Amino acid sequence: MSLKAFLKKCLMEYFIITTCVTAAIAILGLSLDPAAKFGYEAYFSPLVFGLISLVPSFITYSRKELSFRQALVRKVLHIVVLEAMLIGFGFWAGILHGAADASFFGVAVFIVYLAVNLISWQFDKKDAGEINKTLKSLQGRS
Amino acid sequence: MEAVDNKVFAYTAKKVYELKCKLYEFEMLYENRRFFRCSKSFVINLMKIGSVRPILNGRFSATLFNGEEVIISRQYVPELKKRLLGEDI
Repeated sequence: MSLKAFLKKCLMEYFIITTCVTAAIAILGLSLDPAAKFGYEAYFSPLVFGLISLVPSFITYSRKELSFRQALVRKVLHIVVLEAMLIGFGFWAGILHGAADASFFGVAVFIVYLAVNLISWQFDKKDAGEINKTLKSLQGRS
Repeated sequence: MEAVDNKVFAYTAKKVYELKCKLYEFEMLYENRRFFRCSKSFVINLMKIGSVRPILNGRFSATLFNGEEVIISRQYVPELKKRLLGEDI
C-alpha cells in the first residue's frame, strides 16, 4: 500500500476512533463518576486519545504485500503497543492511579479497538457485497 | 497470471504457461479483456471470480471458480469497484 493511501486510511480511522472514545468516556463516566464536572478542556481528551491511538498504526504499514501470518503478527503487536502507549499516557496525565484503573482502562481500550475494527469490517463487507453483485451481473449468473 | 522470481506464469484450467512479457505489460495489453491487477504479483480474470470477501488488514480474498483464493490488496479494491461499475453489464 502506498504511504498516501495508508495515511488516508489512518485519517478515516481517526474519526471512528475519536467517536468510539467519546462514547466510551461517556459510558464509563456515567457508570463510575456520574457527578463529575468538567471544563471545556475535557472535550480535547477524545481528540488526544485518538491521535495517540493512531501512532501505533504505523506498525501495520508495509509497502510490500504481507502474508496472512505477517499481517496477524503485526496486528497483535499493534494492540499490545497501543495498550502500552495509552495506559502509559493515562498514568502520565494523572488519569490512572493504580493497577485496577489500568486494567479497567485496558479493557475499555480493547473494546474500542474491537469496535473500530468491526466498523471497518462492516464497510469492507458492504464493498464485497456490491462487488459480488456486480460480478454476478457481469458473468451472467443469477 | 502470477509474477514469481522475475518470471510470469499463466494458469489455465489444466495447464501452466510461462509468458515472455512482464506482468505490467500483460496488464496493459489485456485490461480491456476483463483482466484485473489485484496485487503486485497477480493479474486475475474477472470472469473467473466466484466471490470476494474481506479478510485481515483491509484486504479482500477472491475465490475463483476452481477453488483457488487470491488476495486483492486494499489499494486495488477501489480500482476493482471502478472497473466493475464501468463494465457494460
